[in-house]
Amino acid sequence: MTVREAIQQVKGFRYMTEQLNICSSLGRRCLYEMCWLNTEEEVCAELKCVAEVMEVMSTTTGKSLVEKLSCLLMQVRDIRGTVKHAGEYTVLDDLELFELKNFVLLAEEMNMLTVGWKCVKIPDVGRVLELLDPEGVKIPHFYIYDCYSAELAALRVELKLKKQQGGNEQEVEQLFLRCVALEDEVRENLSEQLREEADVLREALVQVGRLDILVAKATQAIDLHLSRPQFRQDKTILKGLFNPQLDAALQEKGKRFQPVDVTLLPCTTLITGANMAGKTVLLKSVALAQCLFQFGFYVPAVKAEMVLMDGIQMSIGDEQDELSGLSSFAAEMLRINEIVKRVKAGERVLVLIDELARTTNPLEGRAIVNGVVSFLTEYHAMSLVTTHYSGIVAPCRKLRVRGFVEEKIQGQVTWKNINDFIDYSLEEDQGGEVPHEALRIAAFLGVDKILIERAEKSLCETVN
Amino acid sequence: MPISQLADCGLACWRIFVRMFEVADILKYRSLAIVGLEKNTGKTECLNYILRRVKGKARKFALTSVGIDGESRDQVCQTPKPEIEVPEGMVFVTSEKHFLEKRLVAEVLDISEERTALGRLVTARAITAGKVLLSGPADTGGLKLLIARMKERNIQTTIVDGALSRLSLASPAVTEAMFLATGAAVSGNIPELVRKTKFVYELIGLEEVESELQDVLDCVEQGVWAIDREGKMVDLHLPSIFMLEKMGTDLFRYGNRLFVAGAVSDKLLQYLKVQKQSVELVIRDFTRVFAKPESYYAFLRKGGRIRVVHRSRLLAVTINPVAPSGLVLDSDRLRDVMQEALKLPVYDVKRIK
Repeated sequence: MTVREAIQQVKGFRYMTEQLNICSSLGRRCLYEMCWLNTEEEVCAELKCVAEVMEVMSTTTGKSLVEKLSCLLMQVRDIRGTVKHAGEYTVLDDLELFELKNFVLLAEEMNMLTVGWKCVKIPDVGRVLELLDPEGVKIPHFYIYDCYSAELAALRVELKLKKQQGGNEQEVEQLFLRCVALEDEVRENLSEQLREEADVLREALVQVGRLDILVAKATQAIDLHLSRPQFRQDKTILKGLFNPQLDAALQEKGKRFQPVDVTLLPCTTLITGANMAGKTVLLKSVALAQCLFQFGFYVPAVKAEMVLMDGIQMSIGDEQDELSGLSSFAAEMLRINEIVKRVKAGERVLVLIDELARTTNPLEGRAIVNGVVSFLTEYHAMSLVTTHYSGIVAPCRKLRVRGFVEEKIQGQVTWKNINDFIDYSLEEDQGGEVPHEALRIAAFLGVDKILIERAEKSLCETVN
Repeated sequence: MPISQLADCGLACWRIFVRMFEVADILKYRSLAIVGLEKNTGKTECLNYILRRVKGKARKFALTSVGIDGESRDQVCQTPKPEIEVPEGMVFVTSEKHFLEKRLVAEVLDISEERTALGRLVTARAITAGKVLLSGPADTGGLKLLIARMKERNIQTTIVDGALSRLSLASPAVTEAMFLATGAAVSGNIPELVRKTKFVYELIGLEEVESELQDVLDCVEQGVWAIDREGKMVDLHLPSIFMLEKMGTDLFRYGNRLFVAGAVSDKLLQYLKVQKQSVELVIRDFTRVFAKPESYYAFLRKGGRIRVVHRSRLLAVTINPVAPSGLVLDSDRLRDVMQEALKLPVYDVKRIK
């Protein structure tokens, strides 16, 4: 899976990649093509690189150095097409030669600024520069310079003289064509010599793209107070997990996101809690943290110890199922089947299911939850499942969101301030009963009394 | 007999060749557009004349175009056309495709990231003088940006080969100064030709709005807006000016000043004309007026006013007495009548030196 695909799957990941301050289109494309890292060595190496850049940025001189690099990166164009051309048996035109020169001038400067860095090694492009800047003036302009060929230089002088003297048109044309032929020869010659440097150029592009990504990752980690995840084999522990996108949105309203501690074991963790208690957000935040971890980013938590996964399988029912011609229940079942397939195939996937089987009758719904939970636990799949159903008897670990804190309530509760009175933290749930606060919350939200009263009446009748 | 040869015959030689301007005069402007009222009005000849004149100070100039130009044959009528000769040292901007077809040695300075139909835009400096096909930014914003960026390259004046084509999205009216080329191709009848030219001349001369309003209006891309007495903009949420009647009198609830970002058609002017109060219409620039002279003058007679966000200064008018059909007008008479009507210097493009 690449970053581009992961963005489609994990919603909050798009926000994180868009917030990354990547300077060049080259860097952005390299980012989108980054692969899901499967092994500890790969993730560890990537995180180490980010840490190295952060280390550099911790000093004032380092900060200004990185600023200089960003300025250079901003001027970098994505010239992969041209570099590919340079490696083939084609003759490069003036525009391509200009692009190459422009790039190697920047690469050379970046090379000098990153001497001693372990995370990026921009190769020496001196030879390419020698070819494209024969006068050694280091200005990012290009044309077929006179010094490439003495013959060409002489011809150009002759042509100019002829023109000034108002010479015979045909003769001028002849001279011009000879100049063009000579220029073509120079281009051919240059292209041939550049072909030998194609590997260096390719490597330089890769390294410059990497530099851009690493600087962006490090800057984001510092700005959003992300932390470096540690590796663990048995369980994932996320302390102070938060969601940067929601936090930013809340900050605009003068509020803050309440960080949550959560531990994931290699079994099903069933989460219950009142409506509006942040269960869906929890699943999304966990998915985001895992996703960032696997692409070598720092994660939005105070402390994170995480297990590496092969993938994330989510079933959060806010996709547009109607468009594919499926009912929400059918779409959900297909997603669940996908999870079952991958788990059975022995893949390590992080499973996140929101309100499983909520769109069918409670009797069968409960049965489905029991089935899925016992399956996932048996296969030791690390999973989080939220539900409103009571009576889940399948073996699993149970957590509940604390939810409404009566003591916190001050004044009138409305849909505008209801979030202020909710405690989003998790606690172990011993009893099997789920909270029954739906009607109360509906009342807080200002739903018409006529409805609430009727529903309450109906509830009394069923209980009795 | 072609007019150039006529001129060579020595008839009234003492008044045939005139200088249109001094180089220092046009260096005062950051940008200068050469605009043709119609195809074959001698715009390219006028441009070439300017290029010849500024040769000595070429490094202070940049050259670009809106739309394609500099082709050796007219793309529409297939009549022969003079090519554009870029002097040595001048910066020019053209598309990738045309750059590679150039017939001069030029140093690439920059390649833009945005694309036009003919590829990216290449900024280059002519190492030797020579011919090149010019093409430029596809929209007004791009042209404005290009002119602004030339400052960084120490360019004093950017010359824009500006087709007055209604098909081009880029309006040459963003330039500070302008030359207008007109001629027999517009009309073979001198009074008619003068009338048509005078109409455009009047549009170019439309009064500019106050500078505070300019800044506000620069950011408005589309729609019909009311401007109230305090200069505040209110979107009238008209999807198109063709929906005017449906809105009724509501149009003037914030006052009688309207800003129309798009085209000004006959229909719009006729509609505004019959309103009780006299209307002040604000438009982006003179190229937005698509209405016929009759509707325009009728609107003015009823007390209507039109003002523009940006006005460029018309420096001179050139005339081309030869039409592609072969028709040749009396150059002297045409010039005199035109000069009388416009109160502006008028030059025969075939006789300027």
